Amino acid sequence: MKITAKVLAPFIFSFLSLAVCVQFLYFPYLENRLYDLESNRYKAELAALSPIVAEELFISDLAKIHSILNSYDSTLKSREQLNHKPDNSISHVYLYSKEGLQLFPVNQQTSALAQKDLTLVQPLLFENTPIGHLSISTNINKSLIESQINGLQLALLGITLFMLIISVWWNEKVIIFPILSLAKAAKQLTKGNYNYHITSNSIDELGDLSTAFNTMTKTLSETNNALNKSLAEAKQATQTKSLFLANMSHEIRTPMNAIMGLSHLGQLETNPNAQKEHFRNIELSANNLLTIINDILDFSKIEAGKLVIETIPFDLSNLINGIHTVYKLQAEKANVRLTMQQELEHPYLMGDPTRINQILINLLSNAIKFSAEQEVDLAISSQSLGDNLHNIQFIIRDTGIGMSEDTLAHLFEEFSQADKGTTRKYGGTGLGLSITKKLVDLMKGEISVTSAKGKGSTFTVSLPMTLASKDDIKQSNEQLLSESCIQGVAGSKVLIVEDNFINQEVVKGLLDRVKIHHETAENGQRATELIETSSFDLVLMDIQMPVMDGYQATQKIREAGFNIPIIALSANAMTEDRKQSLKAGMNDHLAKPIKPQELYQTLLKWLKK
Amino acid sequence: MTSRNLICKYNNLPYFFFVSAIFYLLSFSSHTLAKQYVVGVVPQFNTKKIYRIWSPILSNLSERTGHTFVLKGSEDIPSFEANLAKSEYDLAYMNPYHYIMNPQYRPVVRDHGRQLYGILVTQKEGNIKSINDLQGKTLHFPAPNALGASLMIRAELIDKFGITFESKYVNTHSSVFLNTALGLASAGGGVQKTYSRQKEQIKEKLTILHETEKVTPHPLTVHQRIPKEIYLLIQNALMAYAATDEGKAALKKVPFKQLGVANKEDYQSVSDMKLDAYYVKPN
Repeated sequence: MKITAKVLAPFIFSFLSLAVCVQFLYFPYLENRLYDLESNRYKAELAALSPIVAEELFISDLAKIHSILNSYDSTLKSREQLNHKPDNSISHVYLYSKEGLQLFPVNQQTSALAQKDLTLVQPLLFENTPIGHLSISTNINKSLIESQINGLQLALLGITLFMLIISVWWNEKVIIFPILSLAKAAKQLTKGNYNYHITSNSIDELGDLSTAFNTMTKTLSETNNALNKSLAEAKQATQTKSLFLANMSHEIRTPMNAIMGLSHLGQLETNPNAQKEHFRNIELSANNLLTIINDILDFSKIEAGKLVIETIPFDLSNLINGIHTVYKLQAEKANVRLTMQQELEHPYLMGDPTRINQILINLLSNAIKFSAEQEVDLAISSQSLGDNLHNIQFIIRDTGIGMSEDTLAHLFEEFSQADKGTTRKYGGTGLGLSITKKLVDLMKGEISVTSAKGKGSTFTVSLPMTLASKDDIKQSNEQLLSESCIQGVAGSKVLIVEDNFINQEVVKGLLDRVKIHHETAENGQRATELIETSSFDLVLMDIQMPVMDGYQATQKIREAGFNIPIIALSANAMTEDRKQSLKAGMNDHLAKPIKPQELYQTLLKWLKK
Repeated sequence: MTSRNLICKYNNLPYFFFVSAIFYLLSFSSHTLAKQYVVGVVPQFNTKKIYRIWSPILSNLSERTGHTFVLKGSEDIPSFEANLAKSEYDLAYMNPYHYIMNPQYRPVVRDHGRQLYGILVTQKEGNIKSINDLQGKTLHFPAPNALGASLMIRAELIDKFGITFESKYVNTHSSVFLNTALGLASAGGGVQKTYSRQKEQIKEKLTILHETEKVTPHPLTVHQRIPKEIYLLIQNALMAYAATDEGKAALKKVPFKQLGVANKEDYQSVSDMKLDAYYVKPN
């Protein structure tokens, strides 16, 4: 059953029941009642007339009686004519003597009498003696009553119909229509039409429902849009990451290929010069690979919020010179003219030279990469921001291929490169600029770029830094030692704890070069045993090892009461790992792959003590 | 009902006072003392009708005589008769028998155009065919002392025809005719004038069984205490008024069909009827 029928059925049923009740119960009652009323009225009138008439009849004043009865007769006539009684049905009053002689009216109206169906008789008494009787011959107008009833029935029917129509209309308007529009709206919603809006003016629960529905639709629509957007973004991200992984694979495999190929060729090669050439290329490829891996690791660190920016005194001129030295060669190879201008009054600054180096290298290597046979210029300037604070500005300008506006918009986003073509032609992980941007942000600096396709790009990096004193730099410089400086700790004895044979060889080779004696333990267990039996100046401790790991070994050594410096030498390169090493009782932490400079510096630091 | 009430009912009361005032002044100018006379009229009609008939006549009389005439009503015939007996009226219009009973009044004018007589009616289709059939029957009359309709008929039936009968008084002439027509009375007494006014359907059921001796109709009388010159002044004034069209029309309603002078001798025949035996004294 439709809602319309459900809502309207009770109304229709009620009205019909009412109509039936009135028709079959009330109207018959009313008809009898009207009949009784009418006849009672005549009876009452006769009763009222009787004492006067009786009195006058007693003294035979018929003239007076006639005048009274004539007046009553004409009252009856005019009343009944008003009630639309036909003339031949008009009631008449009669007066009879006790002998039955008709005293009023003078002439008997026989023709009229035939029409009468009711005769009411009122005896006339004078002092309790009957002296005659009054009578009314009347026709209680049944047809009149019936026609009145019929009129009422028609009126009732009309009113019932009218009420019914009004009810139907009202229900339709107030209940059914809003429900149907809700249903329609819900249907539209299931079809995914979120723009369907219900117009409702009612201020009742249905109005509230409509409003709630509209709100729900709106919310659903918004949520859906947001979800769709998220989905698109997620798809885009997945796609980007897939692309990134593909790139990465390619990027890693390329130097790997070189390393492996050249290693193989090196073993077969007998000519020492050719071998040396192979090794140099292997180192180059390995450096490339390291750069890539570092990029990834840096990116992960930044993403995890674990990258810590150091604030140490350093000489920016030195840093720039170092970069210049390295990249001059690279530029020459690429047929790029690299120029550099320094306008620094005060090159001693407090900052993170490693990260600044990384930023500049990223930008420069990009500039060189994308400016084949063109020019790249690095300009450094400084502006005082008051007190000790300076704004150091680096401008890397190239005349290379440049970028479109579209590319510029997404330039600093992770995993993005100008386009796939760029990736194929120039390689790279697509993380460089993203890392650069994030490093700049971490240093509270700013990076901006202007570029025009085919005309080159200009990257501007501004970093706020405080000035450092010359003494700070001196102290710092002392730490920058070359291989030659480490000679002072030659002859020290170091325990290498390392399970990987090749890594053992690398460390051994590096120590041999600076004449530091060494012994090797292949796991932590072995290391603790050796410490007990032999005397060492320092321990280089790998972390992940079979039998006993580096943390456990260090704890045992410390528990045994040895204060010997222990330096973690681990592929676990994160800051968290460093913290854990120190917590386990180690003194310092070196990340693999081992950079000789770093190793020597650390050895010097701890052996000197 | 008192005369004051009557005046109150008069439609042209201010006019009435105004006229009275004028004549009062006029009477001074003519060095005659203006007087006010009380007039009584036998209540054969209702008071209102009597007033309507007599007001123009009396005001004209005032104009012509310089005296004021005030109508004094009476509730019914017995109270009128009582007033007459007490000589409460200066002028009085009465039936001939009243005059016989109250000789302290002198007739001034009377109708010369008709005569007064009673009629006895019976059902046309009934079993009363002659006066003799009325022996021992019940007869209806409007009132015991109605001159034509009762006194004269009863006197004649008994004195002239030697009939004995039951009398029933049914208030009005109409009742008499109705009772008779419907057979409640064997016969009924009335006068020609009221009979002719009955509805046709009544009249067609009735027939006149007997007419009484004719007598001189009602006189307008003046009390003996009124001086002769005033008596004459009134008589002349009325006769002069009757000579006018307006007066003729007004007097016809009394009814004075044809006004003429009345004398004591005119009523000798009534006196001879010895109606005293049939007069019923009011309780």
